Amino acid sequence: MAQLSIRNLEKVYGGALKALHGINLDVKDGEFMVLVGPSGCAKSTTLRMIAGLETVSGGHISIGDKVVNNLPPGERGIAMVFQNYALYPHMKVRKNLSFGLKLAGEKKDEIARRVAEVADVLEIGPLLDRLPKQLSGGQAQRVALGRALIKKPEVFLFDEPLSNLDAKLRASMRVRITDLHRRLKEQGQSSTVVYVTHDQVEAMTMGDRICVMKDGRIMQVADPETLYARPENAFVAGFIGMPEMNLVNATVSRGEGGPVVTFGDQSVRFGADLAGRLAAGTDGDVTFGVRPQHFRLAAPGEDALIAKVIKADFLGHEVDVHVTIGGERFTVVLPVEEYRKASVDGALRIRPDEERVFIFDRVSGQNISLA
Amino acid sequence: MSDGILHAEAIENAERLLAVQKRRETVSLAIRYTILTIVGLIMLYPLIWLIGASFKTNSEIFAGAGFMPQSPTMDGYAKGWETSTPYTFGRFFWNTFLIIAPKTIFTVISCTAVAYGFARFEFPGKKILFASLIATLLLPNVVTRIPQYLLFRDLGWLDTYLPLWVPSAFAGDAFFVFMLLQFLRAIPRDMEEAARVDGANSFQTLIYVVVPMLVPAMISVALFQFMWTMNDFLGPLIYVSSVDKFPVSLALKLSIDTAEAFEWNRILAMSVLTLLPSLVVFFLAQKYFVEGISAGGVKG
Repeated sequence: MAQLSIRNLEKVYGGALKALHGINLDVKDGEFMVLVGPSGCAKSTTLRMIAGLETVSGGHISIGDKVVNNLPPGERGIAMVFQNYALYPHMKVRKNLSFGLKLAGEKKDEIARRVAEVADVLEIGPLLDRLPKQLSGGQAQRVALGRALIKKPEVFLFDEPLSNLDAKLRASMRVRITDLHRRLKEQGQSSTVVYVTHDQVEAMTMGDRICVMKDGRIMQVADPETLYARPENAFVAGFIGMPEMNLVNATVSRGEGGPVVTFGDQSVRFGADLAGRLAAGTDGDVTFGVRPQHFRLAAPGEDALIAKVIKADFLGHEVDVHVTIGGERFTVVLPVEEYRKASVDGALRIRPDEERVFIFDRVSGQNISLA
Repeated sequence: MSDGILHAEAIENAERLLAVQKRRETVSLAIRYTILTIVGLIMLYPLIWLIGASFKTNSEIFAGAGFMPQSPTMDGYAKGWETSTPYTFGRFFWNTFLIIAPKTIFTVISCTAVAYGFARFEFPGKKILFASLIATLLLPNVVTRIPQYLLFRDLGWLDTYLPLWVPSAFAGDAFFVFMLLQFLRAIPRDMEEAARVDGANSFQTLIYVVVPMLVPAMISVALFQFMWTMNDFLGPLIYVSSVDKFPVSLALKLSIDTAEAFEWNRILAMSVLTLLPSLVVFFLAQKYFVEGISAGGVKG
């Protein structure tokens, strides 16, 4: 069993600068956990602390059932893939792969067998006698992956492994890594993964669960769907999803039949659904959130917002329309035909989907429309 | 077609201009190379003269400033090699080797270890230790000569080679530590971290991962130490007193001291021989040497 638990983990630099504020996280055996967040959110620091490359200032990290706080990296049962591959430049690919096993005192024929096995899985057989500088980025990353795989670790750690690759290669490596993870899991091998990235697409497509971090704190841990559909706070709501969720200052008041949300000189009436979700007594200043995809054109005579079009970006099948509503800026995604038909004098009559709008506390950012 | 004529004229003009430009460039190139060659020759002339004069007879040396010997002779080499002592010059080369070999090897080992420590580890007192290391760089050698002499005398090391190389075996040459340190700082740490994750301890990381990347810088250190030790005169002069232990730098001076009339051609011939090892070693390792001292250019 190779579950990973982090309890009240803290990192303090130079006695004053607190980078990590006592986080708690459990990664189940065989789970693919993605740590995601903007740069400086301490996601890499967390990973490096799990690896043993950074000291722990407070709290505990345990892998399996042993606390590893004070174990050197080599004894933690982990393997790591680095952003810039970190292959040993003077060793051929074969030696790069086998270095860890050799240090562990593994027998020669066992090493040869495992090198062959890994080379087969990752299709790097023809590269075994090359030096790292003779490899392309994608090949080097596969070798780095092989170096982790060959050790049969309990936990795999990935530190932004794909950010040095071009977009196309990144997409194919993404599939390769998730495939590999699935295969290991099916074979009953340890396949717990902690994967750090700043790319939400990577996070959403690869993770079983995603841990969104900001400023050394965990904002939410959930599977991709929940993260998208039920963000716990405005940060997660804005971080996940493309284009970004519209988050604007608004006021909520009670109207007949449901809450009324007002931004600037415009307001929109909602019904029982939002009323039921909103915490009792919610009134006044809030942050209103709705994804660009969750607007629709209003039917004639329906209560609607008048959106003034500033700019429309054609993306083929749909249009990103940048608009202002009551002085607040929004992005709205509409199918091309609908946009063409509906745009009258540079204005659109639109309505957010009631089931998919969120109300966040203006101060704390907490989602108060989840209940 | 006036357009076509205009066009042809313009092309002709441009070509004429280009030809003038090319001629000017050729002339300026010729001037540049002439000046460089002359200055280069002036700088090199003493060396050329030294080599030429080593084949002259003793009387011819002072006859003129020309470097071509009138009647070339190997006399200087043959007699110079014999020396005026019971030992041949081969003995003195061997003595030099006995100093250089341990000094160079131990310098590389100790300086690498110390530089690795300063570059990659945090330990209490690091700042103060590093500051004092750098401070010794600024200290003139002369200042420490007397206390060092007394220390080595009390250790009973006078007239041995120990005072010449033992300090280097403890990273006594701050300059080399500093040089390796700068080189190490330019090498990304990821490879070492990967090695630690692979289960290597600090020592294994140093040997298997850091040292191979540091080789160019280590070769530069070895080269510098080799040449400086080869040329060191004051050190052996202070600590080595028996003639049979003299390195070449002292042996050269020996021929000046003892001969009543200086046999200049012998001294010059042996000087040429003394230059050879440094030159050979330098040209053999030149590629690494240049790579080593241009530490900033390390690729990530």
